[in-house]
Amino acid sequence: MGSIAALYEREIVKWFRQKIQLVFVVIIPLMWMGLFGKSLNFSMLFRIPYVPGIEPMRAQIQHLIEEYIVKRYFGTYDYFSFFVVGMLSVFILFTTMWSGMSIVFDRRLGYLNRFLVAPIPRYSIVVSKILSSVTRSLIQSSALLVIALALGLSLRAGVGPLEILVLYTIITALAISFSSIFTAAAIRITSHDLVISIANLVNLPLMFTSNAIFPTQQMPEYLQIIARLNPITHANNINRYFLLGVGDPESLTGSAVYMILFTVASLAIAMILSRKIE
Amino acid sequence: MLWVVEVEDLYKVYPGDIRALNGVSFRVSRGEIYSILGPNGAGKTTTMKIIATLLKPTSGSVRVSGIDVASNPSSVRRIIGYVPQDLSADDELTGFENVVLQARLYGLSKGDAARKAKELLEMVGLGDAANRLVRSYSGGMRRRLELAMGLVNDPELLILDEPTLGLDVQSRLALWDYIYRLKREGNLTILMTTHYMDEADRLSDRVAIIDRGRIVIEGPPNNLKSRIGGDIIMIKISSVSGDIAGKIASVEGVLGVDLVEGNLRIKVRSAEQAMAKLLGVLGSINGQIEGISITKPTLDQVFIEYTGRMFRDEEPGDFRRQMMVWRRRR
Repeated sequence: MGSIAALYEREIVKWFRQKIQLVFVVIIPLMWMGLFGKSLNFSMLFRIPYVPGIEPMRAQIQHLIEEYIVKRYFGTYDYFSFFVVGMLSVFILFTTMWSGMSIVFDRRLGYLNRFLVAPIPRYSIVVSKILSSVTRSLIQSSALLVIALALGLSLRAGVGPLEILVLYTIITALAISFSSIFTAAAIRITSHDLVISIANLVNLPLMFTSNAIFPTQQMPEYLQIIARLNPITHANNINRYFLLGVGDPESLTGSAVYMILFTVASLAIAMILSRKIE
Repeated sequence: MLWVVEVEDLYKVYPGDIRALNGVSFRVSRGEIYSILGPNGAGKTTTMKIIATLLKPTSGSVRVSGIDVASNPSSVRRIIGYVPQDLSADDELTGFENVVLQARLYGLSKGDAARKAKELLEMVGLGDAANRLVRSYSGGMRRRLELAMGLVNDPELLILDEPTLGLDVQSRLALWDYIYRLKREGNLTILMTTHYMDEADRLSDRVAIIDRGRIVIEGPPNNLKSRIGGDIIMIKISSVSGDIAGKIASVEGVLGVDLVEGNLRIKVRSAEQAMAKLLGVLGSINGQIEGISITKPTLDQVFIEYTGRMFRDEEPGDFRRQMMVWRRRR
């Protein structure tokens, strides 16, 4: 335990020492929310412009379109909020997918040898990397949450500490899973280029094969299966229900069970592979 | 336990049939400084990594204080300090933070680790630089920091892999001083590798010369050098008359006298002992003595003798002169 704490402190001290990192923590969500989030404004797409002749019925048609298209499809009239809650999970992926990098660099720069000759269990090296990656991704997603609130994220009425606790439990579980997988993948990798390739390979596909940007019901059958295996889908399912009141309450148990199994399995894989570190 | 390190018949074959070690065996006793000397690629670092539990040998065994490295690596890790050839301190942390981290990995509490770090940093002369980022350290400071990091667990065995690689002469001498002090003050056993002949000669109780994965000869540096024969005294003299050589040859300890380009080349068992007697003989001759030089046999010559090859000299040109200045100062 002492060795995990010592190694974890090293990671965190180094991260906070790079002041520019903290600037990026703020800039990245600003870019995504301000540019991407606001440009994908589906609510606006379904707004009927002035059409001569239908003017008396315009408000009624508008209401029907929003009710039967936007609301039925996204579960809310407010696409921006739908998008933001999805991105809370995606940002966990975007941050943790680099967690293998630090093991690769520790090896390249010779630091790893110091840890390997010390009388510490091998898993403490891997666990400290996972914990620091979890910490950083939670900070990143928290920054996103605050910025999105300022940019117009509207949570459902009655969201209190309990709902926020659910949110953090879910994204922490997601962060542990992804950090474990990406750290474990890097245990025997010696080239940082390969880590970059892996991250680039998975980031967009994992985002698009989930319900982060679009709901999954319009996807072809095979994509829906993939989406159901993607833990981001289940995280969003739970988070959207508690924060936005969107979704089917009956699906929550399934999603929660899947999240627990996925997290335990990922962590177990990382712990087993940590013996291979050299 | 008499032997701190027992290495028996170590082989290491890397993929592609690259034979790094070809049956290395040696023993190091308690309190000894034992150097493994050899050119780059001879197998020094491979041997150190196997002893430090970082690498598994293809065959052969290593015991540290009687504990088998292969079957009980974590017990071995507890009693060794390892200073790798590549710099291993985190340059984004301060020197103090690096040593504290290292100490905590050996089970010290935060408070104890901080005390230990302070003490070690003072010892290697980094007390004032303790709170600076390692990035700002000079090469010599970084090597001293590495040394401090290798001592956090008060090891029985300190393994130094090329401890002065890439250092300038002053920094090298300073580091030698610290290593020497460690040996004097403690019961520490030091196993080090180097490809600097002078380093092995100056610091070690015993030297093993390794070439192509085999130890070709081993022994105290002076023993190795004496196998070369003896010291050489060259005397430049204005006029050489016939019987000088005969007179010199009869002096005790003189092994032979030659005339080389007008100089007397005298091979003696020991230059220090022979010189006093030679001066008496030289005072009685007619010629004017214009210069005397003494050449000690070096480990370079031992290396050449036992490998049949020249040892590539990678020292800065003025190194030997610096060495002499330093020796005089001590």
